[in-house]
Parts: sequence; structure tokens; C-alpha cells
Amino acid sequence: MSSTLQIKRWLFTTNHKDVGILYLVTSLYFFIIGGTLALLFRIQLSVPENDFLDAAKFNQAITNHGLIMVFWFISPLAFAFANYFVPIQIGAKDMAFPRLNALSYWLLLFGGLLVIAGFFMPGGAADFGWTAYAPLNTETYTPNFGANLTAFGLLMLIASVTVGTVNFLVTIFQLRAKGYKMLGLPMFVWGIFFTVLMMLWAFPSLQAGLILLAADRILGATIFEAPKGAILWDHLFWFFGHPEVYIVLFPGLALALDMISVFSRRPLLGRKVIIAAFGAAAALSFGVYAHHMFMTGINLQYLKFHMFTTELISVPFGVITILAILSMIGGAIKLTTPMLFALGSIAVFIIGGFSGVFNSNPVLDIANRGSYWVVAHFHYVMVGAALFALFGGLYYWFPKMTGRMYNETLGKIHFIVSFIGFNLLYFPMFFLIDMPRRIYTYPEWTGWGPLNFIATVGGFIFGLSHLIMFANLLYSMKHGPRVDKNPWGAWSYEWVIESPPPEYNFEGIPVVQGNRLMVLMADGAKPAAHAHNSHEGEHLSPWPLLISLGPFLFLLGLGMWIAQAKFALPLMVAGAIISAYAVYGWFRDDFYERFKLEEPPEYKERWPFESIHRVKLGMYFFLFGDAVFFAGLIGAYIFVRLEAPTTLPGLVTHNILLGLIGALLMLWSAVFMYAAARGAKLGDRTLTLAGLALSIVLGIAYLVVTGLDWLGTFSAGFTLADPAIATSAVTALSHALHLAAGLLVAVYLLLKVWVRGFTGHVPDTIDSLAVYWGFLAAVTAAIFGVTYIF
Amino acid sequence: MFHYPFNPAELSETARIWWDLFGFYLTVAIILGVVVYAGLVLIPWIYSRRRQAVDEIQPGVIPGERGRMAYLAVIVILIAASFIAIFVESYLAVNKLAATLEEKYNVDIEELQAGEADGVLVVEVIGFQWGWTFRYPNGVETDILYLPAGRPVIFKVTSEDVFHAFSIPDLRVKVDAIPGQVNVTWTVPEKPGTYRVQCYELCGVGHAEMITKAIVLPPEVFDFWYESQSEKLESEGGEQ
Repeated sequence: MSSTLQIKRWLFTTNHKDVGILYLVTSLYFFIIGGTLALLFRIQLSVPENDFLDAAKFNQAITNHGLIMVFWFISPLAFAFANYFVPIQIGAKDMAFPRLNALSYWLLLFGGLLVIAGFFMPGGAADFGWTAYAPLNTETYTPNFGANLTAFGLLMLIASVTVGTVNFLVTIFQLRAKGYKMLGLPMFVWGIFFTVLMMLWAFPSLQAGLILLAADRILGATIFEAPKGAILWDHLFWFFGHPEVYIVLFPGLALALDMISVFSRRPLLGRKVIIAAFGAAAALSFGVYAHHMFMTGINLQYLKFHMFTTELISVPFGVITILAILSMIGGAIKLTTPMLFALGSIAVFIIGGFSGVFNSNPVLDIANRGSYWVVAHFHYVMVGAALFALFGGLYYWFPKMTGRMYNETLGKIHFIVSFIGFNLLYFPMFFLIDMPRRIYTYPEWTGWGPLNFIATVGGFIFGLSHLIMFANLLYSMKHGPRVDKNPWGAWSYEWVIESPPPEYNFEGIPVVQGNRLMVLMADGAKPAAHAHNSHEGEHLSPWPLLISLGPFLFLLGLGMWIAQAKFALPLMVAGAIISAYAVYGWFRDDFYERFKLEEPPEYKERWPFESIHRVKLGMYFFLFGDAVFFAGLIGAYIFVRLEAPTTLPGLVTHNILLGLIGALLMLWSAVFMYAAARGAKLGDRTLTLAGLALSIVLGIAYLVVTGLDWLGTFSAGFTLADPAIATSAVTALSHALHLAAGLLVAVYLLLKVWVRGFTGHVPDTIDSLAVYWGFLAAVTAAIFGVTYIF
Repeated sequence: MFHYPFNPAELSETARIWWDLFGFYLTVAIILGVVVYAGLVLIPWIYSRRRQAVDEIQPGVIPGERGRMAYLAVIVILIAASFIAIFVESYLAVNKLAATLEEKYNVDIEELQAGEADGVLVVEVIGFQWGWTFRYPNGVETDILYLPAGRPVIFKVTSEDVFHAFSIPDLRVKVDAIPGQVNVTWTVPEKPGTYRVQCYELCGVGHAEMITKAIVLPPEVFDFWYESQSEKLESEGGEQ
């Protein structure tokens, strides 16, 4: 391939393996940034009363270290492997929605770049800690513009995550090789499965919090500055924040189990019990978050309940750990580099888990909360357990991805050095239980100097040890000895095919018979569409890149505009134009059905969603997460109304009649959308066109009526300074934007049915849109019921 | 953690409750940890020397199920039992934290909210960017916390601006200082001396400097200080 084609391939690719490699490179890039920030503040803390960094720089360093490592390094590294290997491991040729897959990558990258761009803004990057406690996170106390960019960057990340989770769920449910039962899937697929389920439910809560925060910071609302605003942020943040820990942990832990099984040549002991334990931990993770709020003075019974669940969650993790260790009994264990990393991951996870049980108790939290004990604890879990396992995975899959072997001796040296460095870095922090987190310096008389010095030395050993890995892998990529398809004697699907895997993974139809993974070389095995879907061909799409670049430029411009910097307006205009053009381009491609990539459903195992079209299934999953988003917003309104008795009910602030008319319009709009879907199913073009048109008209009417009602509210003198008005306005605005996006798709479908009739996926898309419309109608009812009546 | 020249549990009533519970957790963690780490180290060490025979992983074959239900059930029950032991102990400790004040010192929090109870000192703690104000019942405001030894102290903690966390780590006192609400906590300091008071939640660039002293005085010295402060305040009030 020529170099222009290469550039085009990497920018426009939608192939899951290419996207996986983009994720991998990006996550390692952010690892270097986050790691450098960590080394900078470890230098500052190495001795008491140091002045290497001042307080402002230190706070920016710790904040962005946390954000980048959690959101742009560990999870994306896990999803690099997930992108590359989940489709292969389940026997698919690509993800269910390849273009959306590329979209989630580009959104992630540009979101991260927005956060980093904060460093170049006046006032610097965000500096309120990655937990961004209210009201420090508001405009009043943190007026710097980097903080706005961080909020924008996180919102782009959430968009990326939402698209990605839906894609993975549909892929795992509907693209397994024929005969591949869910329970037979590798643990890594199970780990990713539970991870995306948790992501789908957890991230919308953060999204709700960030949108409310944006209203505070940009529109002049005072939701988080009002009394109890701090507690509201705590609830919204930690409902997301605690599952996030397991989101980071699960892929790595599951991967460690796979590696332990392969290198001890023994199947896992009690596989089903382990899978159940993962499921139990994922479910419980949503009911433990208040242990982050033990000292906030909220209801003691609520805290006791969360103490109970927090301690209960140690049971599934205990089961997973013990069974992993006992699985090895009787095997012929090979202590290769990936195996060492897997065992190292379990070893540090035990310390991380035990120290976590200490934190489950409100009494022990009197010392632990906000101290270096907690820092040690969560680094043992998130860095130790997750990172060691994922780096093990990098070694494990390196021969598969490159077709060459790395240097085993250097790999083992990397493990030993990084393991020692890691423990030198974090173990002393358990003894610093009296030292507060996030202080940029400390007086000498505290006696914290020596332990901090050891930690800094450990930090440098740990950080620099990864250079061994980079050197090893970069050299071996070109010069390592060639390997055959299965150097480890592993069992799963990726080891059945060539190294590196061919563009569409399987040169035939993957089929599972009994417990055997096979690839059938039948005639017509290659779906016809694939013939011209090469790296130069149709699977390239520029729209995922452009649709992410547009908002990036726009939001960067917006941040600069608020900061009154030059070139802000041109950037915003360019961003808006690119966004609009990219959306148009995406629709145009769909209109002419340029972009097709689908495996025939009869080759696929689709239990338990056999008869649901993938677009509709994706819609269901999306709405499953979106419901949490609206629940967060409406919940915030209820919280504000309950906690601040001075706020006025909607009966006073709104025109109830207009609200009722709006709700009815929306309801009828949904009814007509269902009629359109019915028409599409029956092949009745007139019914569909009429249904779509009426639905669009009523939808627009709803927006107008609601807009009039809000104009009335504002002209009556109510402002966003009232937190009840602000939360309900943000809810209504979010709902309106959802509807506007839906209207865009409805107009597109109307045109397509008008011009081209029922071709391609049109009937299923209309069907999915009807589900979406039903959801919006339900949200309208909830908004009317809560924010108008209550 | 171990830099105390004496038993840190003797510094205050709350410290005693904390260290008792911490000791229990640590004992359980060490016992379980020794067992688990022994397995994690010994099993790979023993079985990595074995090269022959066992190979139940075959390329392209989904590994079979292993483990009898009874065997797995025993493991799960053992882990669940350790959980229950820990839960019972921590539940008791949480209740003890609230009950000690009432039972040992006959202080009723509800009564206290209504008026001033005998023998109890109520200090209002106000956090701000970046420092602390301590307000005593007689109206005196200080930036150093003076406390009597051997007498229950109630802290009513709030904040003027952002989220802080008030703590006297050696005495095991900590509660969040949140604007718009008052959080209550307590302790009984037992040894006269000087202790560190510090903020434990990131609150802006001055977070590290939000540090002051708590001076625990013998009760009669504290009373003398308190009376003299009251008089001083009155005479100042008179002058105005």
C-alpha cells in the first residue's frame, strides 16, 4: 500500500482490528502523559516543604493524572483488546456496527485532546481533583477555562462509551459463531460483557452531573452552589464512580483468569461460579457507592446499608480470587511473562481488595477517608490488578497481533522490576494513613518525609520499567522470531486463525460444533459484500472522524471564546460546518446504501435475541442507559425540591395547560410513529409516509409549545439561579435535544421512503425509531408528572 | 502509623474504638492473607516444576467444566462466613460509636440540640478557604482549637465556601465540612498535648495550608483559659 493509502486507511478505517490498534496506541500515548504527570508530583512530594511544583500546578497535575489514567488509559487499553479480540473470540468478522466502532474511537481521542488542551488555556487545566467535588467545581471557585474543556472532554468520552457499549452488547449477543453458547465464551469476553453493562448504567449518571455542572458554569445556574448541592454532586458522581472502579478492573481480572488457565494447562475451577460471581459483583456495584460518603452526614441507615453491601461485594471477588488460585492445582504451569503478570495482578488485587474491606466501615473511615491509605487502596486495585493483567495481555497477544515473538527474558525483567517498583511506590502509602491526599506539600515535623521518599523512588522504578516493555515490543515487532498461529497452545478462536489475523478474521464460516471451534470452508462462505471491502475499499468511511472532529473544534472554540482568546469564533464556525457536513455525509451514505457489512444471520448464534434486528436491539440497549440519564436529571430535580423547601413547585412556575398540551402532542407523535412502523412492516408506503409526517409535525409542535411554556416561566421572573428551575430546564432541554436528533432521523427516513421505498434496513430503522419515540413520550410524561405537578 | 511513642488508642475515646476495630480487621486480614498468599506462591512454585502429562487445554476446544458442586459450595460458604464475621463486628462498632457517648458519658444528642448540657463542650467548627474558625459557647472565636482532657466534646462542623473535611487525625475525629449543612461528631480527648488539625478534602490551591493545632489542656487549665476568654470578650463588648 502506498503511504497516502496507509494514511487513509488509519484515518478512515472501520475494521475492528485497526480500530483496536488505534485504541492501543492512543491509550499508551495517554499512559505516557498521565505517567509523566505522576512523576512530576511524586518529585514534588519526595521531601517535605519542596517547591518543585507550586500548589496550582500540583493540583492540575493530580487532577489530570487521575482523569487521563482512568478514562483515557486503563479503560481504552482494555477496549483496545476488546476491539481487537472480542469479535474474533466469538467468531465474528467485525463488530455489529463498524462505523459506530470507529466513531467511539474518534470521540475518545478528541475528548482526551480537549482535556489536555486545558493546559494551554489561561488559568491552566482543571484542578479540582478527578472527583470534582461541588461546589469547588463551579465557576465561582474554579473560574479557569480548562475546567470547561474538561467537562466537554468528559461529555465526548461519555458519548464514545455509550456508542461503544451498545455496539459490544449487540456484537456479543448476535454475532457469535453458530452453536457458540454464551457460557462457553472465554472469560475475557465475559469480563467485557459485564464491563459494558456497568458502563451503560454508570456513565449516564456522570453525564447528568456534568450537564448540570455545565449549566452552572456556562448558563449561570447555581445547582451545585445551592445548599445540599455538594451532596447532590456526591450522589450523581459516586453512583457512577464506584461502578467505574469495576469497569476499570473487570477486563483485566477476566483476562488474568484466561491467562492463568492457559499457562497452567487447566480449565478454570468452577467456571460458572466465577461467571456468576462477576455478575453478582456487577449488580452489587450500583448499591455500594455511599461508602464514599460516610463522612458527609447523610442518613445513618443508608450508610449502614451501603456498609453491608460493600462488605458483601467482597464475597464474589473472594470467590473469583480463590478459584483462580485453586484452578492451578495439578497443572503443568509455565511461568511465561503473561503468566507472571497474571499472577502479579492477582497478588496485588488481594492487597487492594483486603484494604477495600477496611474502607467499608464508617468507623475506620474516620482515619481512612481522604488519606493516603485510600490512595494506596485504589491504586492497588486500579493500577495493580488492572494494569498488570492488561500488560500481561499485551505480551500474551503480541505474537497474535504481529506474528512475531517478543524477547522472553526482557519481558520477565520488566515484570520483576515493575512489580518491585509498584510495591515500593504504593505499599508505604498504607503507613501514611494520617497524611491527607492532594496536599502539594507537608511540614517536616509530620514525619512523612522518608515514606514519601521511598514512594517516589518506587514511582520512578515503576514508571521507567515500562520503557523495557516499549523497547522490547517495538524491536520485536520488526525483528522478533516468527511464530505460528498458536505459540501458547491456547484454545480460543483467535488462536485458530493466522497471526496476524486476516482482514476479515476467518477465511470461511466460523462454526462451533459441540465444544469444537471450527472454520468451515464451504462455498459462498465469504459473504459477497466482503469481496470489495478491503482496506482500500468500502469499509473506509471518513464520517466517524469528521463527526468527532467537528464537535472537538466547536467545543475548543467555545472554551476559547469564553476565555476571550483569538481565533475562537473561526474555530467554532469551522467545527459547526464540519459537524453538519459529516452528519449529512453519514446520512447520504446510508441513503444510497453505500456502506454494507453484514454477516448472514443464519450463520450466527443469536440467543436470546434471535428475532430482533440488530438496530432495534442496539436501540433497546441505548435507551436502557439513557433511562438512567433522565432518571439522574429528574432525580436531581426531586432532590433539590426536597432538600430546599424554598423552591417553588412546577404548579406555580409553569403553565400547566401548556404542559398538558405538550405532553399530549408528544404522546400522539409517538402513536403516529408506531403507525409508521406498522406501515413499514406491512409494506404500506402511504401509511408510513403519513405516520412519519404527522409524527414530525406533532414533534415540532411539542417543541414549540414547550418553548412557549418556558418563555412564560422566564418572563414571569423565574431564573436559572433557582436550582429547581435550573434542573428542570436542563431536563427539558436534554429531552428537546433528544427529540431534535430523532426528528432529523425521521426527516431522513421520510425522504428515503418517499424516494427509494422500503430498501435496506429502512423498515427496521423505522421500527427502532418508534421505540425511541415511545421512550421520549414516556420521558415527557415523567417530566410533566414530576416537574410540573410536584 | 507506628511513630507513636505510646499506645495511640489512649489518645481519645474515639481513637480507642478505631484502634480496636482496626486491630480486628488487621488480624482477620493477616490470617486470611497468609492462607491466600501461601496458595498463590506455593501452587505455581510446585506445579511449575512439573512438566509432564497434564494438558487439558487443546487448541480449538472449549475447556470442560471442573469442580464438584459440593467442593465449590464449601469455598463459597467459607468466604461468606468470613464476610459475616466482619460484618457483625463492623456493625457493632458503628453502633458503639453512637452508643458510647450516650452510655458512658450520659450525653443525649437530642437534648444537646435543644440546650447546653452539663459537662459537655460544644464547639462550632467553620471551614473556609483556607483555614478554620472555632467558635465556643461563650462566643469566643479562635483559630487554634483548645480542648479539655477527659470531657466529651461535640463538634458542629460546617463550611463557608467549598467542601472541606475537618479532622484531628491522632484523636480519630473526622467529618466533612459542607456549605449549607451542619455535621456533628464527637470525641473525648484523653491526653493533654498538641495535635494536628487538617483539611482532608481538596479545596483549592490553599488545601495544603489548611492546617492548624488542637491543644488539649488539663480540665482545670482549660477552664481557666475559657473563663479568661469570656472575661476578655465581655470587657471588649463593654468598651464598645
